Order: sequence, then structure tokens, then C-alpha cells
Amino acid sequence: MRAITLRYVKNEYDAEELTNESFVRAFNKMVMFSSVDSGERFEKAFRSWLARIAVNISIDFLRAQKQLVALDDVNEGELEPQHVDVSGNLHVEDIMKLLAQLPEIQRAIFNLYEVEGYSHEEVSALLSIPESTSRTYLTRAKKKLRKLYLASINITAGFE
Amino acid sequence: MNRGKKDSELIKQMAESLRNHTEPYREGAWERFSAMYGKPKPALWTRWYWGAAAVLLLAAGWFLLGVRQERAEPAFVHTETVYPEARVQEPQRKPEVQPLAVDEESPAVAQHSVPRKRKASPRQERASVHKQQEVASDPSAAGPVVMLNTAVSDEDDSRRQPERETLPAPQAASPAGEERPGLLAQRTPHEQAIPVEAGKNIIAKENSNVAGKWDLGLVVSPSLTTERVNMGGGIAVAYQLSDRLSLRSGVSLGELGVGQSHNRGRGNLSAMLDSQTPSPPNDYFQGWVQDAPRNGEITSVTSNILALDIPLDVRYHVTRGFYASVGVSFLTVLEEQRTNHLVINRINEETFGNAKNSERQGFVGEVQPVYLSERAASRPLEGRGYTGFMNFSIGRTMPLTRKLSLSVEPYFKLPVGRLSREDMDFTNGGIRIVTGF
Repeated sequence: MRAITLRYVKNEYDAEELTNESFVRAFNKMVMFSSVDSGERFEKAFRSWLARIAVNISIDFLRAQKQLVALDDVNEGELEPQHVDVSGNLHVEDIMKLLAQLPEIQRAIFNLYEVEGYSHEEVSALLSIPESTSRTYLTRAKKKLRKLYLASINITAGFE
Repeated sequence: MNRGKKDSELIKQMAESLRNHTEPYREGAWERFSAMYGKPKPALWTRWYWGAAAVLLLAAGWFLLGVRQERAEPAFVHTETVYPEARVQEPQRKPEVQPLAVDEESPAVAQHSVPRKRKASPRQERASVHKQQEVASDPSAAGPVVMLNTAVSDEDDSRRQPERETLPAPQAASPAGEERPGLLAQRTPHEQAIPVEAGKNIIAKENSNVAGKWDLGLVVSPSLTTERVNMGGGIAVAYQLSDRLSLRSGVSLGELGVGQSHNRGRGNLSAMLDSQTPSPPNDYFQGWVQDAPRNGEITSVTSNILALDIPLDVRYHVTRGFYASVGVSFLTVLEEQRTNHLVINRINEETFGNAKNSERQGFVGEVQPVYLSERAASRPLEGRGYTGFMNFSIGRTMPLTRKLSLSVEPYFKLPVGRLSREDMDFTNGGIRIVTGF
């Protein structure tokens, strides 16, 4: 759960607090969890339920911080499509660094759609934004990530 | 096409890496969290709630105690008579409840009270007197009878009743019965037909009526004097005298910022000047002549007092929900803080120092007033009590719930007697908000 909250907030202490809050909410709402599955599928369903709680807590936190309504500061002109060579050793720490450079709203949408598997309809309901906005911000987030990734590779290559 | 595919692969790889990533538990995270949020600090408002709850509890306890004492008095005495013949003929049958009536054709009916073998307590005596007043006496009655006295009280009824049933009947009628002959005969058939259970219901109803006549409430009374807006509050108790009249009292504590009375002349202000405040700091009068003679003149005197107010008002209910009340208040000044407001004429020192001889003529007017406020040492009102105010108010009561009501009551308090002759003007008015339970 901490890995989830860390994707939404940059501050580690905030992430830790959100994780604990997620566990508190999970304990309080435990009776509401029900699954007919058993074994590994039950575990998967429970993990998914916990992940949803962590996501909701994180989104609530961002909404309270009024960071989700901040203007998207990415200039379209800066986001020219660029070719990216996928290297084999893409570490999570590096991805987190790239992700941290995205605006909050783009990062949240990227996480919700690409990582958690939410649909645009669910994302729009969760963030109280139109679906079209969700799609636009997702496209921008991807472009920005590619650009940042390329820039990081160039910097790395310059040192070598 | 190939490029787009690779871009998509990049995003997929990122998402997959993030999805599969887990963070290890950081030691002590939960402990820090529970230490921070496990014991929330009591907010300031909760202390107010606790205080209000304590006041309510005390008031309710006092109120219930008062009601209990009221209930301890026998409010109604039920007396019934039993024909001795009936008991002889039907020993297994319980004595029937007979209506309180005098059957002139039946001389065996007893209409007098039973004398006590032992000395009766004041409570029993009261019950006996009451009973004697209830039962009419018939001098012609001479047969032996048994009296069932069911004087209702909260205690010892079950213990005393059997004893009374076995008491021997007297042969002569009591004098008390002779004083009010024919009382029972004057009762209506409806009253005569009241059974015991109905009588008990009446008793309960009367007791509840006594309790219902009392009303207890909390009072918040912001008031306005010539100086400022003040706050006060306390407890109010009301007793309903009749349908339209009620008597109200209580205790309230409040601050009162008062100014000098208009009845007082300016000469008296000088007498009030009794400053304990030392001279102002050196830098306060920087640029002014330090040794200039103090030519102070008091412009006003204000006083901030903390007072206990005990009102006694008569309230007249004009229409449903609306009422007007008039009464007096007893005022005790618990604490006083008096302030003198002065104006001092001082000469500008720098102007003198830099001036040329030829320009000095214009400096006569350089004496300028300085306004000061000094705390006075004297507290002439502190610790004194006054039969002080005439209270006038009108108000409206609005029921909030079945048991809770709220009264909004604009009021005006006029100082009278010794309080009106004080050097401060205590006239004040405001809006009183009273809750009724």
C-alpha cells in the first residue's frame, strides 16, 4: 500500500501517513469486503480492495490539498513526440523520479489508468473531471514521461 | 509505426514495473502514527461542553431534589368506609371500594377519623386533619365501623395501611367532623363514583402538575451599556403561579462595563482621581517637557465590574408564547477595575529648544493636550451589594422540542435606590436568551 501512496504523493512522510490511514480505513470497513473466491484469487481480490482504499485515500488527500485543480503547467509546444529506445534496465526508482516531475493531475490519471487499471469513466468520476479531460491529461502525461525519459538517457549518456 | 509501438512498450513497461513494485514496511511507522493520532487532544470547545454539562447536571439535580421534596407532602387523602355488616357476612370477600357518600338511611356509616393509639408524627397528623376535613360527620351514626385510610405518600404506605385497618372504631364522632357537616353529601355523583385507582391517578396527576409548574433554564444575556457590549449568563428558575402569571428567579454572572453617571458633576471627577499607575515610561513623553507641571483633567471614568445578579421577576403571559415581565434584581459586585481617562496639557520641549527669540511669541500655542488612561487604585463598588435594578422585559417563547424551549427576551435594567446614586451609570439593556426544560 505504501508503494501505491508513494505514486500519488511526492513526500515520503505523507505517503507513510496515507498508508496508515488506509490500513485504519481497511480495518474499519473490513465487514464490507466480501469475495466468493478462495485461495490465490481471494488474495488477489483482497489486495485489489486494499489498493482501492489506498488510491481513494491518496486522491482524497490530493483533493484536500487542492493540488488536483492546479492548472496543467505543461506547454503543448514542449511535448513534441520523440523516439524513445526502451532499455532493458528500467528501475522503479528511476520511473518514480520521472513520475514525480509530472503535474499532480497528470500523475494521478496516469497511475489510475495505466497502473491501477481504471477506465476513463471511473477516473472522471473519481476526480470529478470530464472523461475528455482525463484522456487529454493521460496523453500529456505519457508524452511528458517519454520526453523526461529521453532527457534522462541523454544526461546519462553525457556522463559516460 | 515501429516508433509508436516502442513508445507504447515504454509506458507498458513503466506501468508493469510500478504495479509489481512493493515497498517494505518502515519500522515504527505504525507506532508513530498511533502516537500522533491515537490520543487526540481535547479541543477547547469540548471544555465548554464539559462545563455546560456540569452546570446542567447540577441544575437537574437541584431541580429533581426540589420536586422530590414537593412530592413528599401528601397531596391528597383518600378515605373510604366499609360497612361492618358486609365484612361479617362475607369474610372471604375483600372490602369493596365505596364511594365517598353519606347514606342517610344507613346509620352504621362512620364519618369520623380514627384516633391513634400512639403519638402520631407531624406527617400523620397532617394526613389525619386532611382526612377529617374530607369526611363529613353524622351525629346519628353510632355503630362500630372500620376506617380504611389510604393517605398517599411516597413512603411507608404499605407498612402503615394494615395497621390502620385493624384499628378499633371509636364510638363517638370527632369534633372535627362536626365542624363541616354534610361535606360529602355536597359532592357530585361523579366525584362520589371515583374508585381508588382513579384516585391514585388523580394523585399522580397532581404531583406531576406540581413538577410541571417548575421550569429551569440556562440564560445567556448579552447586554449593552454606555461603554461596551457585555456578556453574562447563568441559571433561571421559574414557578408558574397561574395560567398567566409566573415567578422567575435565578443567578447570573456577568461583566458590566460602565461609565460615569450623568448625575455626577465634573467636580466629582477630580475626587475620583486616585491613580496607582506610575509615571509613563521615559520615552513616552520624548520631545515633551518632562518637568512640566501636570495639569491633568479627568474627562471620564469607566469601570469594568464582574457582578452577580439575582433577579426576581413576575412574568405575565399576554398571549400564547408572548410575555412581559417586571421585577427587581439584587446585585453584588464581585470585582471592579476602574480606569480614569485624563487629558494633560504639555509643552513641546523641542519647539522651545530650537526656537529663536523672535519666534517665541508663536510658541504660546504649543501647549498641546495629551490623552491618557490610568488604572485607578480605588474600587469603591467591589464587594458591595445592592437591591439595585428594576427589570423590564418582553419576550417570546418558542418550543424547540417537546421538552426544550427557547425564549428570546429583550430587556432593560434601570438602577434604582442606592445603585442609582453611585457615581457610575449602571443602566443597561440587551437580549436575554433563556432555555426552558
